[in-house]
Amino acid sequence: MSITYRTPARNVPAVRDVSLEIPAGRITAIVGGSGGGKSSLIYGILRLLPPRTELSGSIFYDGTDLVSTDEEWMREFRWKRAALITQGAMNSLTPVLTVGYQISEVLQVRLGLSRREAEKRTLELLAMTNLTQIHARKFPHELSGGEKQRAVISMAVSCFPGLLIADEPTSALDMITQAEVVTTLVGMVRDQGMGLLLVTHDLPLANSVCDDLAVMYEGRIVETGTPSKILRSPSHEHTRKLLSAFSFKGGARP
Amino acid sequence: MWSYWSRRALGAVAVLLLVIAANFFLFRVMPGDAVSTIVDPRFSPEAKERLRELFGLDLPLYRQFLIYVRRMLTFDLGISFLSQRPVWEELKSRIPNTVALLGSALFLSSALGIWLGVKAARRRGGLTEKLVLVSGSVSFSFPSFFVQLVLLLFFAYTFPVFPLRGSVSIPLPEGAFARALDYLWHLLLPVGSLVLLGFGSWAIYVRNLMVKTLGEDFILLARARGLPEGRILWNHAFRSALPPVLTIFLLALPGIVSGAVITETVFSLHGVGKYLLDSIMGHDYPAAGAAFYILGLLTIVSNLAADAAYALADPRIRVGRRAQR
Repeated sequence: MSITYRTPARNVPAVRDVSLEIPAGRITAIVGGSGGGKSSLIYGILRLLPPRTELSGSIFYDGTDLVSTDEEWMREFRWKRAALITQGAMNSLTPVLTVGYQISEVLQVRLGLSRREAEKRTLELLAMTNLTQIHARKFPHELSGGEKQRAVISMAVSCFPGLLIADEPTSALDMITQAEVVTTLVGMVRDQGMGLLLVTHDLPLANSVCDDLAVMYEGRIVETGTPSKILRSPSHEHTRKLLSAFSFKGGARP
Repeated sequence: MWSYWSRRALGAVAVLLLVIAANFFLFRVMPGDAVSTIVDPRFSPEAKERLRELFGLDLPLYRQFLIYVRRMLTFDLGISFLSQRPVWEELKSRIPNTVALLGSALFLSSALGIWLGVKAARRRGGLTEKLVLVSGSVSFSFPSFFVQLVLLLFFAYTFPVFPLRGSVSIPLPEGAFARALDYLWHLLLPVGSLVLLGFGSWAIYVRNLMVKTLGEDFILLARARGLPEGRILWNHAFRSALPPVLTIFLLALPGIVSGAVITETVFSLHGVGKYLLDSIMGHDYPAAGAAFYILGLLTIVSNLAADAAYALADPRIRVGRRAQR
C-alpha cells in the first residue's frame, strides 16, 4: 500500500509501496524514527486518514480488501475487527464524558447491549486492566496517565477485535507506568488470542514483547524478521542508528 | 461548591449595588431636574419647592441615596414623574414582553447558529460553510436599527404582512387563542430581525470551535470506535465545545439586553427598553432608573444562570471545585 498527503503546494508521500503481513494472534512491531510513516500506515489500515489523502494498493483483512470497501462497511469493521489504542492517552478520551460512559457507549452502540448490560460489562472490562467502578465514574482528567491508558485498553478490547493496533501506547508515560501498561496490554492480547500491531520508536520495548519486527524508514519497510535476528545482525543503516540511539547492548530478549 | 456559589452570589449583589448607585448618580448629574423640566414654567417658586419636597428632592444627596437603595431592593420603585402611577405597575406589564422578545430571539438565533455552525464544520468548503461565513460577516457589519427599519418598511408597509407597530392589536381580538396568535403576529418581525442579526455570529463562532474540536485526537478515536457520525458530532465534539459556547452566551447578554431598547423603539413594542428611552427623554428619574435597574437585574440573573450551566457542562470546572472544598 501507499499513502500520499495532498497539499495545495505539493504531494507528500508518507507510505511508499509497503508490503507487510500481520499474522493473526501474534505480536508484530513496527519501529522507526519520527516521520517514518508508521502512524500513517496504521491510520491507513483503519481508513482514518485526513481528507484529500490518497490511499492506494490493497489491505487484506481475512480476505477482504479494505481499500475497496465503502465507508459504512468500514464503520462496521472498526473496533469489532480492529481496534485502536492511540498515541498518548492524554487526549484520546472525550474530556466531558466519564470513562465508564465512553466504554458503555461503545457496547450499546456497537454490540447492541442494553444500558444495564453495558454498564455491567464495562466494569468487567475495566477489571481486566485492574480498574474499578471508581475509575468508571471519573472523567478522563481525573485519572493518571497510566490509568487512562489502561482504560483505553479496556475500551479497545470491548468488542473483542481480531486485531489491536497500538500507536505509541506508552510514549507519554514514565518508565514504571510504561512497564505496567505494556504488561497489561500484552497479557490481554495473549489471553484473548488477539493479534497486536505495535507501533513504536522504542526498540527495546518492541524487542521485549514482539514475535515479529519490521523497521520502517522514510515510508518504506526496510527490514523484517524476528527481533533476535534483526537485533543481532541489523542489515539497514536506520536499524543500526536506532540500535545505537538506545545504546542497546545487543542480543535477543531474555 | 457552596463557597463558590456564595462567592458568586456576593459578586452578583455587589454588581447590583453598583447598578443602583450608577442609576442614582447618573440621573442627578444630568442637566436639569424633573421639576424644572416637566412643570409649567409659570409655576411659582413656592409651588416648585413644594413639588421638590413631595418627591424628596430637597433632602441631602446621601439621604436620597439611602432611601433609593432601600426602595430598589424592596421593589418600591417610586411614582413616575410623568404618568403619576407607580413605576412597578408600569414595568410589570412590560417585563413579560421584553423577556418574550429577548428570550425567543436569543433561543432561536443561538439554536439556528449552532446548528449551522456544526453543519459548516462538518463539511468544510461546503455550501453551509460559505453561507455561515457570509452571513456572519454581513450581520456583524449592519447596524441593527437599519436592518429593522428596512424590514419594517418592506414587510409592514410595502407588503403589509406584519403590523407596523405595537405588541397587540387595538382593540384586542376576542378569545384567548386569538389573542395569543395576535401577540405572536406582533412579535414575529421584531424577533425575526433579532434572529437575522444574531445567528451569523453564533454560527461563525460555533463553526470555528467545532473545526478545532473535530481535529482533536479524541474525535479520531471516536471514529475508530465506529460510532455513528451524528453521535460523534453532537455527543462528543459539540458536547466538548459547549463550555466556550456558554461563555460567549454569557458575554453576549448585556449587548442583547441593551438591544431591547433599539428593537422595542423601532417596533414600538410595549417593553422595558422602550419605557427606558421614553423615561430618559422625559427626565423621569424613577421610571428610567427603575427600567435600568430591571434590565441590570435581568443581565445579572442570566449571568448567574449561564455560570451554573457552564459548571454543569464542563466537568473539569465542577471537579476542580469539588477538590477545593
